[in-house]
Amino acid sequence: MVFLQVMMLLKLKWTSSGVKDTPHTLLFIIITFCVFFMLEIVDANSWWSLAMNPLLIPEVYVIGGQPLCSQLSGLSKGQKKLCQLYQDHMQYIGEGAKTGIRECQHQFRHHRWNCSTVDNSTVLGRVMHIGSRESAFAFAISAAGVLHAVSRACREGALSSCGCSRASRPKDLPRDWLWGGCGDNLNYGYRFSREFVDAREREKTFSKGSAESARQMMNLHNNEAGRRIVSDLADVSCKCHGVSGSCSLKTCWLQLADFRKVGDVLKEKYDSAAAMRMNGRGKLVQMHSKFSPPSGQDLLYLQPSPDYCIRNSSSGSLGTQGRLCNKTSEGMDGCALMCCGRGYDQYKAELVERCHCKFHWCCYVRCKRCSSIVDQYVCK
Amino acid sequence: MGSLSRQAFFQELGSGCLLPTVQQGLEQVWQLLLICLVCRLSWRLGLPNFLKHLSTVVGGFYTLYLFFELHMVWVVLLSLLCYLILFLCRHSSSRGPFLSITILIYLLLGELHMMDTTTWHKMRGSQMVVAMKAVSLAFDLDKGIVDKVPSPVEFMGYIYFVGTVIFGPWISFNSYMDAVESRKLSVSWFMKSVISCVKSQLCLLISNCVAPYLFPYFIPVFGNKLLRKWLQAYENSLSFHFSNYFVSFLGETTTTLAGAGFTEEKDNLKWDMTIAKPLYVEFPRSMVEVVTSWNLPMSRWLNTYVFRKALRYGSFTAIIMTYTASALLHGLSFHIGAVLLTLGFITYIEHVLRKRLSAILNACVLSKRCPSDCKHRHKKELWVYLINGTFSMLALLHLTYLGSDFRPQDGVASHTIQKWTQLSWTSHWLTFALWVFYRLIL
Repeated sequence: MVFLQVMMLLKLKWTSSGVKDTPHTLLFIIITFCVFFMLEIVDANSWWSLAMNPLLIPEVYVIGGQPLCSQLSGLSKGQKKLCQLYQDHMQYIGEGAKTGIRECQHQFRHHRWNCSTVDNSTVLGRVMHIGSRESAFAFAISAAGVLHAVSRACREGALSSCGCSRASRPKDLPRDWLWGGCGDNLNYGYRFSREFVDAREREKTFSKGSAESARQMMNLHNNEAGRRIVSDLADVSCKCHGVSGSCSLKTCWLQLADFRKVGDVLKEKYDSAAAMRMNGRGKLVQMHSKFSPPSGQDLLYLQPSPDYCIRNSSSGSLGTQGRLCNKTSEGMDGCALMCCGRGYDQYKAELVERCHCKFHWCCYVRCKRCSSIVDQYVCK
Repeated sequence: MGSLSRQAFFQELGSGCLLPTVQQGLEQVWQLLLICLVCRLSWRLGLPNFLKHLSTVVGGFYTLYLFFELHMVWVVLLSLLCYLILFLCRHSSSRGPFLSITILIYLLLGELHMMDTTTWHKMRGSQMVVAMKAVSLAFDLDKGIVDKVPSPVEFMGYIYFVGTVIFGPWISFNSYMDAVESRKLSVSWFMKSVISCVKSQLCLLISNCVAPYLFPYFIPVFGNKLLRKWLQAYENSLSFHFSNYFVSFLGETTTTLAGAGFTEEKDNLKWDMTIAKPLYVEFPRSMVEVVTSWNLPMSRWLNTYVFRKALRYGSFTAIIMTYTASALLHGLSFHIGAVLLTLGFITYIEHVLRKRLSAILNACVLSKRCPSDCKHRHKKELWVYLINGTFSMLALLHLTYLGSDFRPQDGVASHTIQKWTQLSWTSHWLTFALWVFYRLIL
């Protein structure tokens, strides 16, 4: 609170002083920059850092259980409490975050922003502080990853407080199919993911109509969207019983979809994300009212995406310099778009692989080494 | 921690899986069992044979409708086509091959053109049983085992015998005619039916509620990433195995309940139909034993009507043709074809290798257990047991590997390849290694 007031005071003063190039102004600029920087550092860590933490293996619990939670730097206060209550879950939250990040990197592998991990604490870097559609995707897929990992861990018996799915028989299941078995525990995973992932947002209170409040609502919505997509993609899986594997009789249970499918659907949501703004009554409304209102599964964003072409430490953009591109492609991975018109360098790279493998009697296989020169294109 | 989880799991398993499975399992089959029983009882009334055949046709039709609804017409079409061929070729001596080709064409057309995969997949079992019955009848007519073409009502009675029409198994025409004579109701007959029924439900429970969660709930083995893959493969494999046993014991139940499935020796009647031998598959001596114990009537059928007729082309060719026939009976599924072909190679190589080792070492290490009066010198030495034990372990590994991808949504070629790649094509490499070893000791 005090920090905010001081910052506002400094900001106002700076604005009123105009563009005078006096030593006094320079001092203000320096102070403002330091304050901003410190604030960003304080807020930079995220629970996504669990994905990078090698300490989250079960054997570590034997050494010292309790202190672990306080050492995890990415957790908020509420998340630390949940960590102490559900220590055995942390490994799977880390795995869920890792799954989410990996899927993000797959979906954006041909984009200018490719979901690169910056370091082990902030993970995706400063880009996440901008309320862009990239942030929307990252938040959604991380929440989805946790839901997926925890639900599966329940089914596999790895967690003490949950077990098989208790989902009741779907009404549209054909009458002659049997329902039962230990499906992925979607309900538990959903509730836990919401409790843990949303904890960071819910424990802060911002004044109504503020930018922070808008961002909070955006994050909560996108987390929920990720979870709902996992839930909607979960489907009935069946086993056949019949003469030699035919399907005269079936037994079925609830099963999560492959996480790649979740990523594909979320990418579509990213492409059609809805731009939002805060209205006078403190609610998020669409920027352009002619579009249909977003549903619970759609992604929302507040700010336009930053320029990912050029490295910019304040926005967190890494730039596309040094990225590989495809000369013949006209898509996002093509050199024209990937390099943002700056052009590209062409390199010759030697590719070595095994070839002409032959089996020699008796008994070994010998291969030759074939090297070929391939062209590689790198953005300037 | 773990103990609480396991206890909670078992409670949930009981109410969430065991109970619903038994309840729904019986719900599915009680009508079939009732019709089998009614058919059996009505045959005891001293009806003329014409009406006996007719009653089982009616029961069979109703049962087919119960399980497949209107899609049953494809089974009916197949049987009508078979009878037409038999009738038109009644003076020929090559009814067997001709009918086989006709059925093959019908099944291929059905698979490729006539209907969607899901429906065809559902009734594939019944189509297979009908095809096997018709082919066996045709060959038996050629050989004179059956002396004349049966009347239409006899043929349809055989094809639609209510005891075998849904879950099999194949029985020969002469067995069916024996059953029509209708043996006395007895305690042993009733006990056989009940015991088989209980066994089938037990296998369904194991398939549905035990096998998928064997590790770590039932057996607390966790293992690292590599071992985890094989443990899960074993779980899938076991689940598939017990699904097969469930169907096999159900087939035993319906067949016995309907009055077939007995052997008779000098007024000594035994209700001893056996379709599968679970213990021989789960604790195998060799892959040969696994293959024959999986489905005994099918094994007998393939041996009598495919393998022996193909032996003139050599034993390896005969084995491959047998597995090809088996794959075709199972429909054009890449997955099943790939599994059966792999199984064929594994079985053949193991057989010839053990035969060679048996000759070299003069020991009882053949694929099949030696009779007690065999002439091998070494029978009960420790190293003989070690060799046999090694082959048993290999068989277990092969079973885990081959059964690991009998997944709900199978039939996709890439899935089979992907699964085997996950397991590093272990069985294929091992089989290749054994073949190389076999060539070395020739």
